[in-house]
Amino acid sequence: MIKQSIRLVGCIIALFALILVFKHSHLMQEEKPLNTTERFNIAVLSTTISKERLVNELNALVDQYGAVLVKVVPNQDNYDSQKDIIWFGSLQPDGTSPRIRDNRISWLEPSVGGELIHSSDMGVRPLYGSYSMLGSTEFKVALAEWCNKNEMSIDFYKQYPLPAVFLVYFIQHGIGNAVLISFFLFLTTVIVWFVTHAKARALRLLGGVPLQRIHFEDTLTIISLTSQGFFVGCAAFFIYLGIASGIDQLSIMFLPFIYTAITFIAISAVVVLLISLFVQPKAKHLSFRKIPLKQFRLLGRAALIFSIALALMVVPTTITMASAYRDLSNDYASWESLKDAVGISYNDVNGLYNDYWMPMVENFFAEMADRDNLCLSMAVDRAIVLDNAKMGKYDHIVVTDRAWVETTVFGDNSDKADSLIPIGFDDIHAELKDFLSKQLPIWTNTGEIQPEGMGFCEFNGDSFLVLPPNASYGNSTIQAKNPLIILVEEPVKTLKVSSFLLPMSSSGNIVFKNEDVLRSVLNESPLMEKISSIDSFTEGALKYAQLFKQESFYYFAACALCLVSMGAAGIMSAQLWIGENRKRIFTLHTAGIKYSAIILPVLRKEVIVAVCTVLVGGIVVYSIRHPEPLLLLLSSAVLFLMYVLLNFVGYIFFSKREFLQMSFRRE
Amino acid sequence: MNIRANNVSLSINGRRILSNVTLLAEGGKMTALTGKSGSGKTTLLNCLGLIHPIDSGKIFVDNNDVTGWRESQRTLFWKDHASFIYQDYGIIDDETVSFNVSLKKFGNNQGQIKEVLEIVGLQGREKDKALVLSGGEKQRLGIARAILKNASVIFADEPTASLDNSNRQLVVSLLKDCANRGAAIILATHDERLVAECDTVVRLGT
Repeated sequence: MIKQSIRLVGCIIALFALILVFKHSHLMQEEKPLNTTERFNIAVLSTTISKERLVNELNALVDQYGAVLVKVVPNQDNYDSQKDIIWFGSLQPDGTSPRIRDNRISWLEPSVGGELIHSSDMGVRPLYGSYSMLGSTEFKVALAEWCNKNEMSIDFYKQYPLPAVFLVYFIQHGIGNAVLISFFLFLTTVIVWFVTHAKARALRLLGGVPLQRIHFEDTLTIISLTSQGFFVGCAAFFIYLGIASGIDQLSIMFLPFIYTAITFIAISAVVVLLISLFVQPKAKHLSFRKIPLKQFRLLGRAALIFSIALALMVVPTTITMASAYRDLSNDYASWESLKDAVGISYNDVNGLYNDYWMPMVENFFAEMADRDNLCLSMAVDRAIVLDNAKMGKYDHIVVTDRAWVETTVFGDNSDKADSLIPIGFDDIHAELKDFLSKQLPIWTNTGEIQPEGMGFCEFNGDSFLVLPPNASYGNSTIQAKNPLIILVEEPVKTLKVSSFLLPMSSSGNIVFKNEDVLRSVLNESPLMEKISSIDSFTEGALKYAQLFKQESFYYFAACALCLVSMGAAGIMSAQLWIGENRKRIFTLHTAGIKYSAIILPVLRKEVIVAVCTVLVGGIVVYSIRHPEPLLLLLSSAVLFLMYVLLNFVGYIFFSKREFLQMSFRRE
Repeated sequence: MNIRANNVSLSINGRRILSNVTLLAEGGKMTALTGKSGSGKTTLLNCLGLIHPIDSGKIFVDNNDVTGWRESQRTLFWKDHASFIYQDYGIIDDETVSFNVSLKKFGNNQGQIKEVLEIVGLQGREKDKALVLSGGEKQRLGIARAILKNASVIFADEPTASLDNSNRQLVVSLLKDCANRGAAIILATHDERLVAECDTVVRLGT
């Protein structure tokens, strides 16, 4: 049984370790594809130059320095199954990771494909975001100068050594947690192996086998058992990868696999040897006819404390991730309806504020409204910092229009229409009313606070999706829970173009649902020369949705493993105590004392240890991971109760089993 | 208290250990379960003591059928009426002699404990750890527990095994005293001298 357990744990470690290595390799593919070595981020501040010109300049820069410059972007249509690479310059980059055939990309990640696209075909994909490059220092300097010249900021990502990267994985990521916990499960199983073999080890010492040989042989035995499971796990992983991602992807993973196997076997061998040394049989144990249970108890207690601490680290994060993923799924459902929507950037927005341009701008918005191609959404509180008194009970103050609400909030579900509850202006609390009384007349055509076609609503649904100011620069969206909604039926009729609609479209808070309609109108308007780019603004949200989807799965796996580890550590602890107290159990129970009364003193100690661990662990986890305090408290309480319950059941079960075995005279 | 077994049978791992055993152990008498090693003496003792479930047959305590008793009923029987003496695992080594007699940490009557320890020849050893006791002393400690409890039935597994002659005689005489006080003594033993001193003898494996 214990042999099978060690093999099984070896297999679990292999699976999670390879998934971690796979994830890292996949991340490297995405962050540094096609032999690139460095990454940087470009933020577009207020450039007035058209995107086409910027792209051409960037291409020229790449050619001039013989560099490689690429940008990995999720595909707008298939965000979770397609990732494209946009390349710059005139020489198409090549490399083995990821695999590219006829401009079709096969990513390591199963069922994720993509296309290699030249920058001239990047379309509405924005220029801001992360890039990967291979090039000289001179190229980097030239890039920085180019960005500076075009009012864009550039930040090169810091490079970290591989061990530091993996350390962060182990502590901060779901899959890293899963590896750490499965290794901990391995340690627990190894301790149980030593407990069950303690008598045999003592007898071997008594039989004249040197201690060094006992340590060596036992370490070899355990490592051999673990390796069997480990290689079965690896084989399963490679078969799956071969089927899911293609046989040609296996070679990319081969070298990382070799490193993983060597590292795992080396670390395991050292750890097993250390445990063997810690619980080595001694002559005094032989004279007392006892195995060194005290050391085992120490190890067992350490394992228990560690298992609770790990659970405290993982469980709140898992719940947070699950909730975040649910929110993101909702968010994505909203983005799904807006995935074709675009925003516009102006090359000289200030130049539009005159009698020549303003009528054209007004015509443009009127036409967009007529063709049902305009949505308005902005969290006012993010644009204008409002204090708590002004916010009152609301978490956000939102200005939006009917089109946005119907597209993103209601979607296909007409029942959700009831979630908007109209309120009167006088129902709003005084501080906010005062603020709106000053602000709204500036925004409205009539100069009124509440002109016709504008109303105030509260929201009683799950979440109300809102765009933050500067949404076009990739700022994350807002899920308002209890907003005050200033709902405008027809923004172009109600709101001033100069003081509201134009600035809103410049900051990305007016979006156009159909790019083709927008382009056809702009192409016939002189306004086109003032537009620097037409960009999709969903890239950032889609990328995060992808990442969260993967990560939340690993957190769930880590969470499940954590509970298994806690159970295993509890069982081991119970077995150790029972091994040490078998006579006590037999004697007391045959004297009519119930099992629950027999185990009460030790259970009391376990509860004290658990309380201390949960308290200290909770503080440490809070300082490392900063989970929601209430969530951490609840998780701690649930884990504590589970721990006590598991221990109680474990102690009772093994006491009964021991009693029965002693009645059979099975030593 | 009388303990009666009617056609008790038991197999363990497919091996027949007890086959249609019938016996009566009466209060005030010593009943020996004897036979070769592996004949099922200890197993039968454990079955009669309700520690071990049986496959078929019936066990009666004072004419009450106790075969199907639940765990809670058996625990109550052990608490109120029975006492077990096992040389190997009836004593908790890392506890004191005093604790091993009463099996209670608190609320003991120290006077009574001293009294019974004096009866079994362990006076002044109350605070010693059981670990330091010899085999004979441990057996006597088990008997002291039975005396303190005033057990109606005493189950003793090999009470004279590995004891020197004087210790052996002391243990036998203590068990006889318990029987004289009315307790039913059931012994699993292969010590023929002890068997000869018992009132009833059940030979197993014949």
